[in-house]
Amino acid sequence: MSVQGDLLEKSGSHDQDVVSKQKMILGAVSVFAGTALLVLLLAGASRLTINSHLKRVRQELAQLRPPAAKLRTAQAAITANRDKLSEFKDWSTVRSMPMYQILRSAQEDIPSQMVLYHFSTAIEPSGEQNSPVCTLYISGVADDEETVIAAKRQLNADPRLRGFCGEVKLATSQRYSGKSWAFALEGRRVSGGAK
Amino acid sequence: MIRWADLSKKQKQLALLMLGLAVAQAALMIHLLESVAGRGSSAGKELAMLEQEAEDARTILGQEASIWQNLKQSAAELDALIQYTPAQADRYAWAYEYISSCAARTQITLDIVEEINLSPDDKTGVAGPPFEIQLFTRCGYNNLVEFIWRLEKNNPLLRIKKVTIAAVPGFAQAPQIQIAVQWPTSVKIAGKVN
Repeated sequence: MSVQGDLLEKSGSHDQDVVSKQKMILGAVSVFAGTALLVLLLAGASRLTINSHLKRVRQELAQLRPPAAKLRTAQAAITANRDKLSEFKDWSTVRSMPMYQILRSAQEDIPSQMVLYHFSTAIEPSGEQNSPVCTLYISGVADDEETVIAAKRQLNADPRLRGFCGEVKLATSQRYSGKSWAFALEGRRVSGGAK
Repeated sequence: MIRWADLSKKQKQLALLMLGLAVAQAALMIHLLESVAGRGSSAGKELAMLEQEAEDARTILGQEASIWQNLKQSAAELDALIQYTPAQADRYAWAYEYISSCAARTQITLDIVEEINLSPDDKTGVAGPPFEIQLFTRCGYNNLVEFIWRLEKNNPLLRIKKVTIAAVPGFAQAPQIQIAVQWPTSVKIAGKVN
């Protein structure tokens, strides 16, 4: 009986709450409404600020855009000019060894006991890469076989020719008449490749 | 003054629930605020974009002097090289004049000076296929070397593509010589101030 009496007493105390339900609800509505109002006020202020900034930036850009566009065009022109300069430099690099020096070197290295029938030097594009192929081809008749070998050695010992066409090799060699030998010497190198 | 301790358990629960809802509402409203009027809104995104554009413009304008200086310099460097490339209008005449003047100084006679049409697919030039001239002459070796020296010395962009010397029976001192020379095609200078 005493336990039942306690429960009744506690449930009865509900009607005597410190804050009434109406006050709680009113408080809640006030909080929600207050928050909403505050947020809306902030939204309005923020929107006004953004619009004001937008107007300012648009006005500033109206001043900045034309000269900036001119400078961007100028930058593009600088890039185009530098690309062309670089391509011209690459073009010139191929002839870092002037052809007259190749001819002069060959003249100095070929012994007088040789009669040349055909002589050619070339810098021609290779099929695979953009690097050109440098070639030297000499054919003729020498007084004897040793002269051909000596000429080959002499050509290969010349740093200018070596740098141009790499190692000069004996392409063909055969007896011409008596002690005379017909020969062909050839050097070939891809520019930028091994010497 | 309402004290927390004075509230009943149910009232405390209700108060906490309302506080939670208020926080959720605030978060939702702030999110809405951001999407409607903040940086996340379309106006805010536009502002950010325009501010970035303005910043970029200010940066490039700050480099104005150096940009014009670099443009002038690059155009001048290119201009100095362009004079060594064949004229756009009549490049054969331009090349012939140059080659024949070198030949005259070397006292050799040119037999043939002809333009070689290279394939448009030839990528060995600077702006398209190079301009190639093939010439034939008969002269001594020393004259040939001097002629080629003159050709190369006075034009840094001239490239001797090929020199072929073939002996002619009975004319040991005047073999048949064939020379192929190339120039890069002339290019337009960007941003040149006349």
